[in-house]
Amino acid sequence: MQDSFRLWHQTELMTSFKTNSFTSQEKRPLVLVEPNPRVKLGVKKLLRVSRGQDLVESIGWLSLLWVIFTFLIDGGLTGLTDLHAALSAVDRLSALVATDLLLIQTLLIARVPWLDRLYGHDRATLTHKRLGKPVLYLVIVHFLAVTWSYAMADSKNVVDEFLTMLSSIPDLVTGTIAFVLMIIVVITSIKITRSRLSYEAWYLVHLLAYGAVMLAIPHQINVGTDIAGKPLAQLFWITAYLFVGLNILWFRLLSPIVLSGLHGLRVSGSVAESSDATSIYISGRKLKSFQAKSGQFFILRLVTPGQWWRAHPFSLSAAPTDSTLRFTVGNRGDDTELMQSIKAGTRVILEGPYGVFTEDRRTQENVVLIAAGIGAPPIRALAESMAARPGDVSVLYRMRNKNDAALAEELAKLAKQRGFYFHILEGSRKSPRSWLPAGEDDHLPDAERLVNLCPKVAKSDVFICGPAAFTQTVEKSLHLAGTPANQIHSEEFAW
Amino acid sequence: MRRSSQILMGAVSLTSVVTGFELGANASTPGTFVPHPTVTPTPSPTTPTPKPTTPTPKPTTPTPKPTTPAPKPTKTPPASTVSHTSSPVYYRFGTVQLTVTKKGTTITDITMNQAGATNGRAASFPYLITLAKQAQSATFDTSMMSGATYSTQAFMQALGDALSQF
Repeated sequence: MQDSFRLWHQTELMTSFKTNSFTSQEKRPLVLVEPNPRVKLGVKKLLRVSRGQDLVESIGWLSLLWVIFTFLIDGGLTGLTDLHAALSAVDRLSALVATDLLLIQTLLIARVPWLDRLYGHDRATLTHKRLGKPVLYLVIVHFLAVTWSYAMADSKNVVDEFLTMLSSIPDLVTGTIAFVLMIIVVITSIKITRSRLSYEAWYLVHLLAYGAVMLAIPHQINVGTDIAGKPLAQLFWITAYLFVGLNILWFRLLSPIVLSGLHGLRVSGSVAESSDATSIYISGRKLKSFQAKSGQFFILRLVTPGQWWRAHPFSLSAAPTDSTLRFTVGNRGDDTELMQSIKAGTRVILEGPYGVFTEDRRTQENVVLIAAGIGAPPIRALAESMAARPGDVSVLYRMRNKNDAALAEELAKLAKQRGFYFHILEGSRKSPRSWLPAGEDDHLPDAERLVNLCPKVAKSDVFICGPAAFTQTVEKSLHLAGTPANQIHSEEFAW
Repeated sequence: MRRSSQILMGAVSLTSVVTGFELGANASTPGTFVPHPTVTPTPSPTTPTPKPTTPTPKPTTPTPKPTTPAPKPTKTPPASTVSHTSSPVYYRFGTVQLTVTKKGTTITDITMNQAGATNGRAASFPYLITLAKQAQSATFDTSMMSGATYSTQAFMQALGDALSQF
């Protein structure tokens, strides 16, 4: 081969996996892409991230402050001499704050790239979840206070007054429907009920939240004491709604469809990697323009009559190339079983890439990559693309059974080829509080065993991908071993 | 957020809440008296009225002319100035409470103790005061006003309450 000297890194290795009967694709050759040529190290580059975070958080905070400020200069808190005046102040303020938070909450889940780059999908989603209940409480306060204060004004009982309001005040019917929808959405999302619902049922109910947000708009703009008839306030709120709405419309709805169509994304095959993991290959044109990086994930939709409405998060399990993306997913859910039997040629819609679990956050020369179970795919991709000299990178792969671990063989070959340390940590734990398997040195605490495995761990960037509980215990060991918090990177998948 | 940014935002928040409150306290003092509008009777044209469900109370009571001219003759003691304050009237957009001053039988002054009316409706009170003094009654023609139906009702109720105390 004439090119072989130039393409030394692309040495083809054959994966030697047993192909199960349900695989639609025979084993593929392992082709490695060239790793990142260089990486900027040091904590200085993280300053840009924290500046961006501060900016975004400040804007969010200022929007809240603006709302409160305009309420105050309208005399919102003056003349509160009696219950009626106090109730009407509470009703207005709670509504204003709730609406602002609701818009922030909606934006957080819109998966907009500029937020994702700063926080990662997991942190944005977590904040979205945390805002759910406070927003609902504020809306409930608004509802009760407004009905009560109007009832006082008209000397009626609350129920009569509520019915009068529905019929006499414009846009209150839609406002009330929005209120009911919000209650339903939050109730279905709290832990107790969420765990009893299937993902699909929860998801469909959760879509009602968009309806709730939109149905609440008319009564704010037309009747809202602090908005109706006040051009500046109307401008602020309409701008805020448009900003959030357009971000969602483009980034969550249109852009994935348009880009997936333009790049001609289709399934080109699937391979069973182990008894509980499947790799899916997606092919398309000019995929570099997605600017996906190893360690990131996409949200994948199969465009088939039964599947188009269900989205699944899929992690890249190989460094992305211009023509192919490879994802590996655990066969846990109801649908992932299906993934193994996808026909090649099925169209897909990809949203993404998402996540900050990438080399961009690396600050040190040495890197420790820790995978557990089905956390292996992003680690496998990172190992392929990390800029490194032999010896810079250690890969730890925690697994139950060597013979049934997804991508283990690939990782081993990759490590051998690039000169990485590779440790397979196989077997059950010694104690429930340990994350390492039983072994010769299991009388030592985890942190010491970790240092024995990777002596430079305190001066390394550590990327952990695994179940949330695993990640937490590893992080504890890392703190004990002396790795600073800003060198620990993990991606929470339990959203 | 980094510590420095937190401190900055905290300072900004505190300042704006305090100034907002101060500005609000000043703004909510009763507006300056506006002479009775002869031609342009709509005080707050910006207000989109939340659909006045109750018709303007204009036609119900015919404006009482100076119906009580009887006790006018010299018999009455030298006209003394008496003030009475209404009880607060709660209504949809706030609270209204006013003090009426009478010299003899003539309403000479009406002051607003509480002029609660959101969304610019408070601008109607000076007009209402002028109209009430002209009519010398708790009910008067407000057909030249719009956008303050509820505030007008509350005002008339408070005025009637104050007058009933004389």
